[in-house]
Amino acid sequence: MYPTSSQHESVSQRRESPERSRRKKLRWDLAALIDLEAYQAADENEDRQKLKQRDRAFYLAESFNSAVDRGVVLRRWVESRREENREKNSGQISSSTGELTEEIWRKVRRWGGYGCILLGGLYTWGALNVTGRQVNVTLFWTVAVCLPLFLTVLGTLSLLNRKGRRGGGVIAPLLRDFALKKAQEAARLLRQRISSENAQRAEELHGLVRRYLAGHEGVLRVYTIHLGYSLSLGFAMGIVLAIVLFRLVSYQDYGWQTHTGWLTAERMHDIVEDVARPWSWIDGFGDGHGFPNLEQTEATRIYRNQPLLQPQPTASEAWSAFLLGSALGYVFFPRLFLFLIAGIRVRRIVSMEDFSKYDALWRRMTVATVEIAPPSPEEEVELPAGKQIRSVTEAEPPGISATESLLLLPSDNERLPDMERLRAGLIQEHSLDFGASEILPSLPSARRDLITQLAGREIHRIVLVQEVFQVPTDSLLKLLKAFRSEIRGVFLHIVLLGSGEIDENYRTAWNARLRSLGDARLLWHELVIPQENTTANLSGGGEA
Amino acid sequence: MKIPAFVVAGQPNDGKTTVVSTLTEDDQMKISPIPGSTRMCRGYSMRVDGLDKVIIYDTPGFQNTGAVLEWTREHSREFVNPAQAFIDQPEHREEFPDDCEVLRPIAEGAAVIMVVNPALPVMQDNRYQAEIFRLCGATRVGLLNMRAGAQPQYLDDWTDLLKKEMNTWQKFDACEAVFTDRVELLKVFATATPEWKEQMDEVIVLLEASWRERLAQVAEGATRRLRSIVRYRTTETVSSDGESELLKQRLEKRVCDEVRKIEEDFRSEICRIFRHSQNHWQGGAELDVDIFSADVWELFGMSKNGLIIASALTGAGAGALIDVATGGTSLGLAALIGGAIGGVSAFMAAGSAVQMELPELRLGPLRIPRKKIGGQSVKAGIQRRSKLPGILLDRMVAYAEDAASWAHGRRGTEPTLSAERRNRSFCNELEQSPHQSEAGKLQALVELWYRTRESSVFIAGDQQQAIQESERWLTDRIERRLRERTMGKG
Ligand SMILES: Nc1nc2c(ncn2[C@@H]2O[C@H](COP(=O)(O)OP(=O)(O)O)[C@@H](O)[C@H]2O)c(=O)[nH]1
Ligand SMILES: [Mg+2]
Repeated sequence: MYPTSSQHESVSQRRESPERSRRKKLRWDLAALIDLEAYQAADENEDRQKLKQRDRAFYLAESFNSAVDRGVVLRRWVESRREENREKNSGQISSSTGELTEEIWRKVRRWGGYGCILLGGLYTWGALNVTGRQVNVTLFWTVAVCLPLFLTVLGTLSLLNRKGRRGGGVIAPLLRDFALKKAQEAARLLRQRISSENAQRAEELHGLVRRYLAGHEGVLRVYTIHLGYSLSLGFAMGIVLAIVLFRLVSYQDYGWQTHTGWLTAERMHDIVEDVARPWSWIDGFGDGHGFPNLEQTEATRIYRNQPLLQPQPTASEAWSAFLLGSALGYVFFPRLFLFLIAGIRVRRIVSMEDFSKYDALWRRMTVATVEIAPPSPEEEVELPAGKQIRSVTEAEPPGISATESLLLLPSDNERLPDMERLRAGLIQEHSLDFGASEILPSLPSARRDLITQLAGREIHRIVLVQEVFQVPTDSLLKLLKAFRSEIRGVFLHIVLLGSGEIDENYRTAWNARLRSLGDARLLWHELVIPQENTTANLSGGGEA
Repeated sequence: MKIPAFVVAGQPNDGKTTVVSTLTEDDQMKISPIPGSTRMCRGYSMRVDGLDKVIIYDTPGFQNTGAVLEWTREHSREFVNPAQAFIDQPEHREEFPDDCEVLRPIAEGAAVIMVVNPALPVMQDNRYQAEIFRLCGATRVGLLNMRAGAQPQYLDDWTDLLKKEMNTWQKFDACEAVFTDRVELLKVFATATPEWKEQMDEVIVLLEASWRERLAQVAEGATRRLRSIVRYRTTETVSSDGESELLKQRLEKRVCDEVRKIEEDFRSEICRIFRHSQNHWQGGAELDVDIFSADVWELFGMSKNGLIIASALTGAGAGALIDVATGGTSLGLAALIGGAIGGVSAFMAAGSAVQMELPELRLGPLRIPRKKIGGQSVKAGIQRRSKLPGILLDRMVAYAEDAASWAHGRRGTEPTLSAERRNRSFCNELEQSPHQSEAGKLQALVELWYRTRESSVFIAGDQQQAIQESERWLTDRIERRLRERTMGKG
């Protein structure tokens, strides 16, 4: 009947689940964040009781330790919901909203990256692939190294700068509003075109993502920056690849030119040497290899419209290496570095998410379910029901004299009216006179004594006074039965005494119980004597 | 006994079942004004996450007090556990089944809660019962089951007895008790039984947390429903102009039905949350009457500085609750304008609840109503400046309060809950709040919902954030109000 320890055991058994090791690997990512939002939205119209059950059960099954971080729990929760959904539509491949979004995002990044590689490659190749003259190194350097470097620096600076002035700016909000408006228009057009069902789904997805992003603008920003860096890295890769490829499969002479007398070959060489510092220390990329040496520099000075001299293979190789080095050192690696930083920030920002707004879910999981279980059926103890009510023919009492009649008063009698009023009431209302009165003891042994004593007397009528609110109990019924069996033929009158109007409920209770005795010589009457001076002491009893 | 267990004992009809019912939030127990209606001993266990933590037994009460006392007096020295010994006598089970039922949990170590009714005098049997419990070595807690309405004539006598015979005692009104009272009582139980103190304290803490969760759930549900009402939109395509009158009625009915449905839905959720198998209470005019009846509107309206324009409501029924949002139209649609009200700009002031939007042509900022509505779709929803959201919110909060504070032991539908019903409008409270901005905040939230109802998709980020923030504020605010009403200010 009390909870067995098996219930406790089952909980602790779950604790040893093998899932534990798997749990540690889970990390937050955009997919999980969006899914968290999506599942929240899906739960919005669910029955709360069911949700409570589900989430609390999840929390208990996972048996997190009490100090566990909200983020960890919620991440597990997302996972468990995904699993649940996967089970639900088993067979079909189903990825969650978040997974879908992340996939789309990843695809955009990947294909955008490829596109940028191609773009960067074509751009560089175009700049290199000139016929009939040398490639102007300065020009190429400006186009393929300087410009991208400038853009990288500019972009990064503007990002860093933005941190300082939140919400400021004029152009950004305008641009955003414009974009939003256009997006709305586009969506409206789109909605008209696709089937209503798909439209609804797309709208839902979009709504979810937006709903999520509304509260997480930081995340969106970091993700966008990451995307930007991915694309720009792709472009840099295109440049590098084009140079390498060109070096491998094509041949081009390089040259430099100037109007000023100041820029002598020596000066040019000095500049080139300085620029090449990042890689010139590497073996095999020194003077004459990683960048042109003085003679090579001198030999490749060109003048406009000057006919092509003979090819300069070693100088060209050095120049080509110089350009490659520049592209790598000033474009590719900085961008790679920024790309990696952005990647780290993406990871950081999703792991630093503030989960405080998921209060309802958190409460559902962490607050214990307190419920009251009604007793199980086998636990119910049915008592023998009161006996069936039998109809009783109430016999008329014959003329019994007062001396043959005994009044029994309860031992709790401080509140009873005094004897005279009681007697008057009994005679007036019910013609019940009595010769003697006794106190009815409340303990069974004393009652037994009283009965034996009464059995020896000539008594034909017992008038038992009871206060009406004294609910008839078994012990009273037993007393009546004892009277019946010990004092044969006696008439039993129960006087239900009240001080005001008698409550119908008491009447019902008395009727039901007394009728159940099926005693033809048992009668009961109501007597109302208003409470006035209730202090009359009747305990003396005795003859009237 | 490992788990705290309490057995409720006392004279029949003193309210034992009522006490258990209220404590265990079970409104299905048979409580009858006719004495002797409980015929068996039932254990109700308070479960925390499926594990029994506290058990409360309801019993029929002693039927043979004298006999039990005599036996116990005689044998209490002989046995370590007199209660068990009493039950173990085979003839006792035959002869005193009810009494054995009361003694059974005591034999297993349960503490006794002696429920007494201070409107009735102390009887010999009551004294005997207290003695039996003492002889059985049970921890005894006296419970003065105060009845609102009934004069506790014998309170002093009872207090004397309980002081003498019980380890501790407490007043409790099983029909009026709210959550705090219940917790208070459990705390008394906890102090009375040092061996279970820790377990009891834990249960109390969990119970309070669980209660707060329920209130939060209610508040969240109210906010959610209010939002869906404000955002609600129904659309119908019109085939010809001639249909307009019918169309108007149809749309209007749909909007009103939606409001009713949502309110109904909220109510049944509330009943589930507070474990009421039915609506026991009478809400009075502002809760039991249909939300669209003029009575309700006036009732709520009058408290709002008389801003309501009665003429828009009286006699017109729902027909007058309609407005055309897009204003002037040259169509044969004058009927659509119905009881539109102009010039009242205060929140919740306008009488119109349902609003229709006619199809229009949009050229940038220009909006030109279409000349014909045939073949066009007409949208209807809640009128922008309607009082409806305020009224609905008030009704929801009031209903939740009733449900949360209605003791489960209470039967019948005696009307009153508390007298100052009229002053309890939640919106009024917001208006009068010392934080000037509260009513304004609600107004702003409704406005935001309203403005963003067209598309839930393209809501600008800051707007979305503002909505989320305001929704949280409203939810917290409702929750706080419910907490104050059921748990005290603390
Ligand atoms: N007004 C009021 N009535 C009560 C209270 N407690 C019990 N009652 C009423 O008393 C009657 C008997 O209650 P019940 O719980 O069945 O008593 P039991 O026989 O001891 O289980 C019922 O009509 C109850 O409605 C109370 O606190 N206030
Ligand atoms: Mg009962």
